[in-house]
Amino acid sequence: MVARSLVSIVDDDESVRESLPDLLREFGFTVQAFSSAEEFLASDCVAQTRCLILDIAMPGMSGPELQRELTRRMHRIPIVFITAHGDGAVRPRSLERSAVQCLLKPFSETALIEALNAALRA
Amino acid sequence: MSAWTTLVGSSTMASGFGRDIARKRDGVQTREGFRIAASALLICVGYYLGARIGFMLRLPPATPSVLWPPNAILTAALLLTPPRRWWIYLLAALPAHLIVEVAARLPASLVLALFVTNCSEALLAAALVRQFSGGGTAFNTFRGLATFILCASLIAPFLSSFLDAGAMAVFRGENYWLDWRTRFFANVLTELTLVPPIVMIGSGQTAGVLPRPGRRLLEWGGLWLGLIIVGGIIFNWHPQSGTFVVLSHLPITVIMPFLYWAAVRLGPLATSLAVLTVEALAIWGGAGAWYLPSPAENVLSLQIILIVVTAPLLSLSGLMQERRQTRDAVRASEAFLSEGQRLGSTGSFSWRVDTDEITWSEQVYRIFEFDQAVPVTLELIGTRVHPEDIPLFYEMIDRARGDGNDFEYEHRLRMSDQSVKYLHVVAHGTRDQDGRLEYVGAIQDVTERRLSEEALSKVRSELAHVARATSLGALTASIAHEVSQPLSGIITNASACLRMLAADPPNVDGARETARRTIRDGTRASDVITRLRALFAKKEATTESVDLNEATREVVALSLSELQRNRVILQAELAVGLPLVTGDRVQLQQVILNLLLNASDAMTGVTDRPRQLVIRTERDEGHRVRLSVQDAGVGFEPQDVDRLFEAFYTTKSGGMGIGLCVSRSIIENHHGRLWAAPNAGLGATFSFSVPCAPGGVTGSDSFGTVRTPAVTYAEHCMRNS
Repeated sequence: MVARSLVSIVDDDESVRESLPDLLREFGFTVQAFSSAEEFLASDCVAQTRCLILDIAMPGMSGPELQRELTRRMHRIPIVFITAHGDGAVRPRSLERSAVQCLLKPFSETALIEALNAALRA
Repeated sequence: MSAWTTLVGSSTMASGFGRDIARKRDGVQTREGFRIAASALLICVGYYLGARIGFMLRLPPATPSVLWPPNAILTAALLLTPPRRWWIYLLAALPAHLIVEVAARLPASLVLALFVTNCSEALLAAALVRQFSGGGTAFNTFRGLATFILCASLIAPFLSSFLDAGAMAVFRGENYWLDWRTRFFANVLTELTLVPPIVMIGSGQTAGVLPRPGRRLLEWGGLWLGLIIVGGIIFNWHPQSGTFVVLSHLPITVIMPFLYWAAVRLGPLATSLAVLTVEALAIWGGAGAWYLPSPAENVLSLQIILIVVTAPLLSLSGLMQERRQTRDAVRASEAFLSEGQRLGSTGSFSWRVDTDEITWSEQVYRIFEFDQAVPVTLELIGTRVHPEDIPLFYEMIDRARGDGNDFEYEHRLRMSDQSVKYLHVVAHGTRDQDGRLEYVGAIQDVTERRLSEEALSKVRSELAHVARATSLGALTASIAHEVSQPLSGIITNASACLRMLAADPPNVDGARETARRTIRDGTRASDVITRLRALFAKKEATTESVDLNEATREVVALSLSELQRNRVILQAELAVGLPLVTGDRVQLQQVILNLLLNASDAMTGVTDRPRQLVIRTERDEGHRVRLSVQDAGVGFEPQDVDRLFEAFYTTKSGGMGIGLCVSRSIIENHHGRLWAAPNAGLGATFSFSVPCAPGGVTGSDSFGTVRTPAVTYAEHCMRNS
C-alpha cells in the first residue's frame, strides 16, 4: 500500500462523494472529490493524482470523455471506473483504454481496495 | 380477296397501305384510282354478262326473263360503295347497257330511258337500305336482312317498275299494267336472290358463313348434292296433263327441306345461294311442273312462289345466324369469365334451397377437385369439408335455410391428398315470385392468403415478444441504476463506519456521520421501490362497474389471432346473469389476457391431444364472481405452486416471469384472490375470484351455462382457422 497517495474521485452522485472519501481516508489515502469532470480538470490536483476513481455516466463530460481528455493532455493516470449501470457493453471498451478496473455499484470494500492497488501498481 | 372488295370504301383501303399515310398519299391515291377504275370495269363486264345471262333465264315460249341480273349488280355495287362514288359506277354500266340493248334492236331513246329506270331502282334500293339499316349492309343479322328485303327488294322494284312500264308503254305501246306486273315480280326476285350473295361476298361478310374445311364443308357438299339431285329430277318431271292440280306445287314442296336446312344451319349466304340453285334448276327444267294456261303465267307463278319462299327464309337465316353469333359471344364471354375466375381463384355457385339444386361454375369444381360430370349435392360437398368444420358447415346450411339472409363464412376443405384448403364463401339470398329461396354466391380459395397471414401474424407476434422483452429490459436497467446508487452509498458508508469504529481511538463522530448517511441512502432506495410499486398499483378512484362476461368476450376477440396461431380450441362458458364487479376494466382484462396467453403458451408443445382451453365465468361463494382458465398443457408440480406468482419466476423460454406476479397484484387490488391448481387430468387451471359490485346484477339469477352469440362467433372463427 502506498501511503499518502492522492486519489481523486469524480462522481455526480453526492452520496458517493461523501462516503467514498471517508472510507479511503480510513485506508490512508489522501482524497479529493469532484462533482464533475470539468471541475476536476480545472483543479490543480490533476498532476498530483496517483489514481482516479471515475463515474462513467455523468451529466456534462462523461467518464470515458474525461479519460480521453487526460490522454490528450499526456496525463497517464490509472483509472478505476465505477458505474451503477450493469451494462456489460461499457466495460470492455473502458478497459481497453488502460483503465485498470471497472467496479459495478454497489461494490464491496475489498473489491475497491483490490482495484486501487492494481491501479497503483500499474 | 374478292375483286368486289375493291369496291368497299376508300378509308378501309387506305388503312391497309401502311402507317405512314402522309408520305405515301400520292401512291395511295394512284392505287385508289386504279381500284376505282378496276371496279368500274368489273361492273361494266358484270352488267353485260348479267344481261346476257338474263336473256337466257326464260321459260320459252314466254319472253320475259325470270330474273334480270344487271339490276342486282347495280344495286349491289351501290350498296358496297360510298354515295359520292355512285355516279362513277352507274356511268360504268352505261356502255354495257348500250351494247346489250342496241344489240336487241331497241330504239336509242328507249335504251336510255330503260337505263335511267334501272339506275333509279338501284339508287332507290341503295339509298333506302343505307337510310334504314344505319349505313351498313349487315346481311348477317335479322335487322339487316329485313331492311334489305323491305327496302331493296320490295319498295324499290315496286316504284321503279312504274318507270319501266311507263317507258315501255310510251316507246313500245305495251300494256302498262301487264308490263308493270312482269317487271315488278322479275325485279323483286332479282333483288331478293342475287343481291345478298354478291354483297356478302363483296364485303367479306363470309366469316363464319362460308364453309371451312371439315364437317361444315361436308354439310355444304351434302346439301348441294341433295338439292341438285332432287331438284334435277323434280323440275324435269313432266307428268301428263290432267294430273291433280295439287301436284303443280310438288317441286317447291319437295325442295323446301333443303332450303330450310340452308336457312337454319348454314346462314344467309348459303340460303340465297340455295335459292339461286333452285331458280337455275327450275329454269333448266322448264318449270315443268307448272301447268298454267299461259307460259307468261307459268313464269309469274314461279317468281311468286320463289319470292314468297325466299323472303321468310332469308329472314330466318338472319335470325339463326344472329343466334349462332350470340351463342358464340356467350361462349366467349363464359370462357372469359371462367378464365377470370381461375385467375382470381374464385368460383360462383347457386343453390335452390327448396330442391337443394346446386350449380357450380367450372372454378368451383376445380377448387373442390371434383369432376364436372358429377352432380353436386350437399352430401358431396360434405365429403370435402374438413372434419372439424362439418358442424359449422351444417349449422350455416341450416341457418341459411331458415332465415334466407345473406351469409358469409369461412371453412376448410380436406382434399383427398389430405392437404387443407381455406375457403371464403359469400352468398346473397333472393326469393322468386313464388317465395322460393335461392342463394347466389362466390367461393374464393383463400388458402394462400391465409397462409401468408399466418406467417405474418407469427412474425408480428415474435416482434411483439422481442419489443416487450426489450422494453422490460430497459425498465430493469433503469430500476437497477436507481437502486444501485443508494445501495452503493449504503455499503461504502457502512464500510467506512466499521473502519472508523475499529480505529484506535474509534472515530465516533465520523462513525455517527456515516451511519446517518447509511440511513439516508437506505431511505432513498426505499423510495425507489415505492415508486416502482406505484407503477403497478393504480388508485381505486378509477373503478367502475364491470360486466366480466363482456370483458371476457373482448379479450377473447383480442387474443383470437394469437390463439389461432397456436391452434388452440377455445371453449367459452359464460354464466347467464353474472353479477357485475367493481374495478378497473382494463386491468381486469389484462389479467384475463395474461391467463389466456399463459394457457395457450403452456400448450405449445402439446401434439398428442387437442389444445383445449376452457374459459369459464360463474358465481362464487360469498357474493363473489369467479373466472377460471383451464388448459390441457404441461401443468406444474404441486411444490412449485407458490413460486408461480413470484416475480421473475418463469417456465417459458421467452418469458420475463412477471405476468402472474402483476396479475396477482391487480386482483388483490380488487380485493380478490388469484390462484392456480393442477387439473385432475392434464394441465392446470388458473382462477381469480373478485367481489360483486353492491346490487349490480345484470340478469336473472339462473346458473345456466350457454354459449352467447359473440362467443359462438369467436369459436367459429377459431375453428375456421
